[in-house]
Amino acid sequence: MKRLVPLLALLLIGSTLVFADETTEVYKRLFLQAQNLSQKYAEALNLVQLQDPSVAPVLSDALTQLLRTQENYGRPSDKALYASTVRVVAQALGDYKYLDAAPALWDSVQQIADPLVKADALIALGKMHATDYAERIALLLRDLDFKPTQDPDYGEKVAYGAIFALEKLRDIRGFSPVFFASVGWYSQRVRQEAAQALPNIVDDPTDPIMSIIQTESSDRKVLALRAELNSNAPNDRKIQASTYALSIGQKMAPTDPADARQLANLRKLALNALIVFKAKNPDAVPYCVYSYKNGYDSEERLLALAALGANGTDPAAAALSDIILRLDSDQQAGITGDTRDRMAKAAIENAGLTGNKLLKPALITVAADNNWSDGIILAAQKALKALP
Amino acid sequence: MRKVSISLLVVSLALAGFLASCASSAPSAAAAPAKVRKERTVIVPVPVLVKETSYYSDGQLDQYIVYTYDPSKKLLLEKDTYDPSQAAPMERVVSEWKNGQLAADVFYDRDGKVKFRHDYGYDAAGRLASDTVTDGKGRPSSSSTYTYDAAGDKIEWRVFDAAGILDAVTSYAYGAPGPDGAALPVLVTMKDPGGAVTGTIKLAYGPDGKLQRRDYLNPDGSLRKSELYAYQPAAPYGPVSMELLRADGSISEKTTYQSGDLGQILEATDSDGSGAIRGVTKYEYIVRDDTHTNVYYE
Repeated sequence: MKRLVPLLALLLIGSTLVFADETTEVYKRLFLQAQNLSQKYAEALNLVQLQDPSVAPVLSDALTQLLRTQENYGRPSDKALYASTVRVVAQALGDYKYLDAAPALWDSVQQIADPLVKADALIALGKMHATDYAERIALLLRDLDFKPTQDPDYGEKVAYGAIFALEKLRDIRGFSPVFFASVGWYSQRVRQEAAQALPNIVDDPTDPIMSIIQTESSDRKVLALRAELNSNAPNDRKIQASTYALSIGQKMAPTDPADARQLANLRKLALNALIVFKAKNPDAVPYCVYSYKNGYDSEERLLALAALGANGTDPAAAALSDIILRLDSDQQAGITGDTRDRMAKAAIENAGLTGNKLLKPALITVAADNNWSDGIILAAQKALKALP
Repeated sequence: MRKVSISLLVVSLALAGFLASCASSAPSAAAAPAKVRKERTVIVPVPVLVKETSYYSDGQLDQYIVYTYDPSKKLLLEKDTYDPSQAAPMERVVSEWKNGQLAADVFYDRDGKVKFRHDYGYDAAGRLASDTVTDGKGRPSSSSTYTYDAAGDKIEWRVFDAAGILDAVTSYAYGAPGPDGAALPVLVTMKDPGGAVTGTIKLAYGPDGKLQRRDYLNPDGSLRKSELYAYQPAAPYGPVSMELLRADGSISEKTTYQSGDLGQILEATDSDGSGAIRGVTKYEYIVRDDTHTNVYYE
């Protein structure tokens, strides 16, 4: 107990630095000379409490030796003590960020069955920024994500360590497995841990998220897009992912009504993002038009019109103009209804928001068409005033 | 960087400064007999460490430690280590105090389970006499006893294993006292239970009584490694650096410090032998106002 004992002695005796650094020297020797496992464990405890990084090489060698002698500790009581000893050593190596110990820690993950040992070794690899192991840890978590382990508690513990490590390693290869952990079979604690880790792993997860949106189930597509929108990615990348999600949400044929709802949710989330970020990308326009024409419900169609209004580019203005003129032509033909009125009003209001003069002819047409209600005509006049 | 040494150093500096101020107020041999003894109460600001934040070399936040004290801000009650992404501490150390003495330190893991605990015993003079370590299941792990001389200086530390069998004996020898009158250890001798020397540490101090150098010697007396300490030349006397040298004199690691007005360490930067930064730790304090009585003559 190096921290408080000297402090206490200092206060009691009234001297400075009374206790030299002999504690490390003594405990290091005792650790190296420990004959049996219980001695080794006791001395390891003493050694790691010193919080002295100079003991890291000794601990690293000890870990290697423990791995070599694992077979000697087959009895259940020995196994538990063996695991405790390795855990103490692994934790300290992580705290000291002793990178030279990374191979031995990875060997511990692979060779020792105890899930808490695996978890602590993984955590240590993360803490020491052992980036060479990012891919291996990502693959390990990916395999765990597939399905619950025979003993779910085992998988939970190892997954927790892997998630922690990947968060610390901040390697983009860790994003997908941690994402799948956040929506996987694990307990809420592990899923939450994974969800919280996601924004810390990489600032811009757009590429792995687009890959998830392309290949995964509809509900996971929605969650992936949410993760993108919650990430620290720049807005243009979020727009890119949203546009992609919108396109995928339209291309996919739903397998059943529930799937159709999820795909609609994906499209609505994407459209909403395009509105919030005032996406000006022309490539989003055809997908907005598609959602307007084929939307799952009025909400999706209205969001599509709002996205076109927020876009405001010439292609978006041209699309809105076509929509307004088509609605006007229907109105003149006597095809009316509340829903059509709501769409017309929304299209007109969003036309005003574009600030694009390409919409003037369409708005003038509506404003001069007495088939419309006063409210619609007034909206068209107001929108016209907003245009240059 | 040695976190332990830092907290020790901070308190050392505050205490040394206080003692030095007391000493400077004492009468000199040439003091006129007509002068009378008087006392005055002074407020001594003492920095109290409340937070310690570590960063990786790339600036990424590594972890932080929060220290909690009793209302007097003198007794450390809890030390919680957090990972920035976790709401719950990765480790908690809860200190138990009895009659103003530290009775125990209990270490908890991230799941709230006891990892191990230390129980401390004291002699009649209130000096630390024993330290018993038990594991999370309450099984004895090891223990230590401490012996002091008549002057109250520690002269021996004995380590015992779980069965109570002697493992190691460390003895302390003192040289001339420092400017504040306190004994300064100059030689630490470590022995195995049979009495064979396993290593020695030689300590050297500057004229101000501050530790300047620590040499670690092998049993045959050859130099194994050294630690060099440097301090600011003037008030607030904060440390500047600590260098760890190999036997050939080359630097194996170095910690440089930035200190505050009260000599407290504000920042410590760890680098390796080539000078590459390995990490940075920043320290935050609150200031406790201690009241002391100074004696003077006029």
